[in-house]
Amino acid sequence: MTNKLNNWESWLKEDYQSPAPAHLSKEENWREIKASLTNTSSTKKRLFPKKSLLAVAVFALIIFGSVFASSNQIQAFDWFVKMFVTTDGDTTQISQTTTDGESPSSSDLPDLDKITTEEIEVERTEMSFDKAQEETNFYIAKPTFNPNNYQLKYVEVVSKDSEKNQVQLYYENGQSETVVLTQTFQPNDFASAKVVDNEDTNVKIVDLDGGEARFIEFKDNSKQLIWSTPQMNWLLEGKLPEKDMIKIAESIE
Amino acid sequence: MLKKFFRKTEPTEEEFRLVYDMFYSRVYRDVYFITKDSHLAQDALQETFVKAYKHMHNLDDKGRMGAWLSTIATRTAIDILRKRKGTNEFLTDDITVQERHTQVKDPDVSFLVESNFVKEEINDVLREMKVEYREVLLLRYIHELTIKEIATNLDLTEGTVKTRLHRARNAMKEKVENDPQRQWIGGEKQ
Repeated sequence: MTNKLNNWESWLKEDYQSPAPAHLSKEENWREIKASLTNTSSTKKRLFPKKSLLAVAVFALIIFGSVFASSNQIQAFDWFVKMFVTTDGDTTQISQTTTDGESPSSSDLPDLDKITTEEIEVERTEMSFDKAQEETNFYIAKPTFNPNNYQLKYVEVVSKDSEKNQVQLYYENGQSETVVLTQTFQPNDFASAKVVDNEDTNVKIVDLDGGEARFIEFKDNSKQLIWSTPQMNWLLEGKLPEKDMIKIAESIE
Repeated sequence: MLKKFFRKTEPTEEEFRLVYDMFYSRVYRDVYFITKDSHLAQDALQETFVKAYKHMHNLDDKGRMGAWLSTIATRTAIDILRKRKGTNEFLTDDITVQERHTQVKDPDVSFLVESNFVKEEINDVLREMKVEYREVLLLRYIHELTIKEIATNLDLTEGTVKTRLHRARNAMKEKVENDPQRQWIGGEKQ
C-alpha cells in the first residue's frame, strides 16, 4: 500500500499527459488567437508586420519526386513546410520542401546540366546533452513523455561541412530497447526526400498536435515518425506502438 | 534557439508561431489540468497565447519561456474557471466517475482494472481539490519549478507557496487514504 501511495506523483504526471482532446484543432486555435490579436486596437498597428523567414529566399529545388507517376500533395501542419507523398508502383517517396508552391510536377524539373554533386564531410560527435546544447546554435528539445522508463544515454551532434545543425538523442531502457530523436535545424530553404519500399513498409498520415505527420512502419516492427515545425525537421525512431510514438512527439518541449 | 529569436522587443508572426508550435501542447495540458474541462481549456489556451504575445517583451530570460507560459496558463485557467463555473462546481465531463467507482469494490478485481481507473481516480481527486492547490502541484511536480520560481511567477511569497504545496500534498494523500473507494490505489483503512 505504501508504495502505491508514493506513486501519486507518477499518476499525477500521467494524468497531466492525458488531457481530453481539444474541440478545435491546433490550426483553428491559431486562427482564433490571430483574430483576437488583430482585433485588439492597441496592437493592431504593430501586429505581425512582416513575413521575413522565407519571403526573400530563393533556392533551386531539386525535386526527385517529380519523376514519380502519381502525386498526392499533402500539406504539413503549417504554411512553412510542405510534405509530399508520391507513390509509383513498388515505392513511395516522402519529400519535404519549404516552398509555398504547388505539388511537384515535371515543369519544376531543374536543368539537369546545371545539377552538380558535392561531397559533404559529415562528422558525428558523442557528448552529453548540456555539451551538445553549448555546441549548437539552436534549442535542443526533449520529450517529457516517457512510456517505458527510457534513459537518455547520449547525444550525438552531427556536423556537415562544419555546420552543427543536427542532433540525435539516444534513449535506452533496461531491455535494451532504443528510441532515437533526430532534430535537424533548417534555418534556410531546403528540400529532402526519403524513398521506401511499399512491400516492406506502411506509410500513413497521422494527427500530431492538430497537424499532420508521416508514420512509417517497417516489416521488422521498427517505426519512424516524421514531421516539421518552422526551421526544424523531426524524426522519431523506435519500436513502440504508434500511440506512444505520437505521444512522445507531442510531449517534446 | 529562443534566445536567438527574441533580439527585438516584439515577436514577428513567424517568431510567435514558433513559440505557439513549441508550447501548444504544454499550454493545453496545463489549462486542462486546471480546468478539467476541454471547452474551458480551449478558451484558456487561446487567452494564454494572446496574453503571452502582448507581454513577451517583458520576459527577460527567454530560456524560461515554458515556465513563464505555464504560469500565465494556470492563472488564466483559474480566472476562466471562476468566471464560468465557480471553483466548487462539478463540470460536465465528470458525471460518470462515481458510477465507475461503485462498480469495483473487490480489491483483487479492482487491481486487474487498475490501469484503466487510475486516471479517473486521480482526475477525481484533483477536481475536488482547490484550484490554487492544483496550480502549485502542476508547477512544482510536473514542470519542476522551484519554490522561488513559483513564488516569483505567481506573485506570492515563498511561504504561501510552501503552505499551498503542503496542503495540496496532504489533500492528495488524505483523499486516497480516507476514501474507501480509493483504498485500492493506495489508501489505508481507518
